[in-house]
Amino acid sequence: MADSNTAAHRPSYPAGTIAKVSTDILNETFHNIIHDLVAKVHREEKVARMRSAVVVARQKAEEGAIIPEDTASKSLIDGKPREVNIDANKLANTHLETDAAIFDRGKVHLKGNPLHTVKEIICPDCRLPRLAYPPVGAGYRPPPDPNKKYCENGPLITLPGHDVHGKLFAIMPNPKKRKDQKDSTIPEVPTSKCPICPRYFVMNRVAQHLDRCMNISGRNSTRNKTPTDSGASGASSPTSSAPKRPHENEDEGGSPSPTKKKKLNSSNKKGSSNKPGPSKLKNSFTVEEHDDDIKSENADA
Amino acid sequence: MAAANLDSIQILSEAAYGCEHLAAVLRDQQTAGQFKSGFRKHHDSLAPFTKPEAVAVQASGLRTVATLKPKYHCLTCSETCLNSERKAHTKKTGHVFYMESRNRFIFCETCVDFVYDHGLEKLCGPVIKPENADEKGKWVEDSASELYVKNNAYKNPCSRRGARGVWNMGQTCYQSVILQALLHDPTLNAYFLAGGHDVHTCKRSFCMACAAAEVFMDFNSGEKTDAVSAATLLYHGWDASREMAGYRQQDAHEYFQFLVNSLHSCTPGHSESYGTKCECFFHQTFYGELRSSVMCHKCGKTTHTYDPMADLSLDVQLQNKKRKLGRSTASSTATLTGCLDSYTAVEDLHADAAYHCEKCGNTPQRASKRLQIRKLPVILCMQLKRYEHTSSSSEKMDGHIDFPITLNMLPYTVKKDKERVDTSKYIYDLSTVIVHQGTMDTGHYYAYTRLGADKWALMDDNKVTVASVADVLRQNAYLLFYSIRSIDTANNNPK
Repeated sequence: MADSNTAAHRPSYPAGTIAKVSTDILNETFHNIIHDLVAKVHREEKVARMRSAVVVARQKAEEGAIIPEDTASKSLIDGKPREVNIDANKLANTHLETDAAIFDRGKVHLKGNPLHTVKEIICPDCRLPRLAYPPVGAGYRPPPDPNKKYCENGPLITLPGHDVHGKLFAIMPNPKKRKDQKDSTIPEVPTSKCPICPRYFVMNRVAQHLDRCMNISGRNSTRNKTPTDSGASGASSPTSSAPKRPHENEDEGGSPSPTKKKKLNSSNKKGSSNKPGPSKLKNSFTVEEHDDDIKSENADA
Repeated sequence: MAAANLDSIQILSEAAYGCEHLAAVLRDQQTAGQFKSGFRKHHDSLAPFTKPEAVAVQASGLRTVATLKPKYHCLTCSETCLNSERKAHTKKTGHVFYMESRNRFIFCETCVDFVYDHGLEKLCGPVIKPENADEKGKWVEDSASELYVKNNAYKNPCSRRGARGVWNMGQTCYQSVILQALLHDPTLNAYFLAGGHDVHTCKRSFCMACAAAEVFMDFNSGEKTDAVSAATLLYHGWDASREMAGYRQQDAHEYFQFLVNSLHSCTPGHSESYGTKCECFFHQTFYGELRSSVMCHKCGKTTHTYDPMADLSLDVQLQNKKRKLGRSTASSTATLTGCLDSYTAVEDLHADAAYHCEKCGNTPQRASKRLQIRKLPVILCMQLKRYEHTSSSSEKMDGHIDFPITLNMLPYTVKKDKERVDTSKYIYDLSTVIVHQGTMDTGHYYAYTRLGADKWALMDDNKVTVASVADVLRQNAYLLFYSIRSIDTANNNPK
């Protein structure tokens, strides 16, 4: 953090001229912009290293103060991360030094400048080292030690078709494929339980179902109509699925398997347009019976 | 992006003092007190104050400024040094600590480096908001749970906190984007995660706050990286409002207003009456206050009315028209600050608009009107009204409107020109940009959200991808969320 002395190449103007004043102002403004940028990065880096130094010292101190567990209880919880009991009194009286810090009675003091003494950034939350570069995607660098565990909160990953965690975008589940045929590396859009009825739906169909389950679109118009009538009016009303299709296709255009999806969509389209929706659904929806009850109650009232 | 329950762990990972030399001074009660008061004094005096207009134009003419470069103020004797002079001053006087004038960091001449002391930085932070104070108090007092968290903290694997999508349940992207704007806010996270709304004792049926708390908890739960589902929130919302209900597209701005309003009415202790001010958490977080002043041209009497505001709806058209007329300045692109300028500009009410001045015997008078902000909210939502209404149709207008990444709201507030004001208290940081793609009737929403200091992500429903600051600022924004910059360092530091 020192001033860069680049005055050697600066053109000099006689003092008191407008040229002198304006170059001075310009130069010093640039100086300040760079100063602030560097100060910001310096602060981020130094604070991260300070914390790393503290976490390492604290962890060492805590390891020394662990109450040894008897073997019987150890075997019980084998394979799982063990509950660790720390002797608070022992910890409070621990004095210990690392390269970068001193742990003394519950407090950690720095030793020297952490920018020199700390080499690796440790995450204060999970206490694992944190990668400085993404392991895959744009600007990647292989992790220094492939066998080591790193903090999950690493740099964000930029890789086409993948999210910031390096995972592929979820695709619509294909009901025609059996489970063993599916590629387990491609995540599928999960299902979610309807908040009202016990049925499960693929996530992006939930709102459509909820509309029906709450009887919203049919609230005003379809109460006294026969199922076929309501089906027809539902298809032509602006709230039906028809105008939504083009947008949804466009929405899913970036997914890894557009062909599969199109097929799925077109088959769905057929299903919804050929058969009168509600009557077909009534056969399979457990909740529609309940809905009918409400309807008849309403009609009675 | 600190979750409330991690606050206590964060303190554990802070060093006791910024450096060894600072420790030597601060350990001793006597020197510590002296040092701290000097530190506070400098910290306050170096705050970025506005120059009162009366002082700005000095009678004596121009003032000589030696340099614009950062200066180092000695914390012991108040001497001001340049970077190059500092060493000599220390040699001469033995004073070691300086405060740098631009960022107000401490410089230790013995380390020859900036030092960042957690305790001192907390000292100069603003008075902590009542909610946060309560929660912090809870955590510190509850030593048993603190010890548990302390002992087991490092067993929880980390995740890229906040980098999660929200599922589109079919035309619900209006909900997803608004949730993304709120889910990353530290104030709201602290509220919901620390049990600000108690889900277990809440007896309201279809409670929106319970549903929202569920989303916040799910969003912050451990190692999950996939998108969260907000089905319950959608269900409760549809149940609460007929306008919002149904499988169809909605306006994200309307949904935001609806959500904030219903969260407010789900909060115990809220007040619905118009007369009394509501003190609920959501009012304190989202609501500011607008002052509308009307001045009668005849008698000069000014009347003020005050209204709560949950957001600012800025007319993009107005600026376009002005530009066409050549009244606006030479800038070729529309800007957010330009929209704010015209929003808070003095506006003439014509005589036929019939403003009846009381003082002039309730006769219609020519008058002028001005809107200004009296109280700024913690989370500031701004809508850029991108539609054009004609008698027959409404049309959406695309086109870029420049918006800044940090915004100084001071010029749009009710402020007396002669007062010296610390501008740093009016600085807002951009947190979320919501973009609408498509036409007036149909389209898609997506959001750009700040994940950390300079980390941004594009949240397109469940898909989360990296975005650069340049990407964000290039967008044709529809809604902008800014949050007030607190000097509270816990929220500013990158995770």
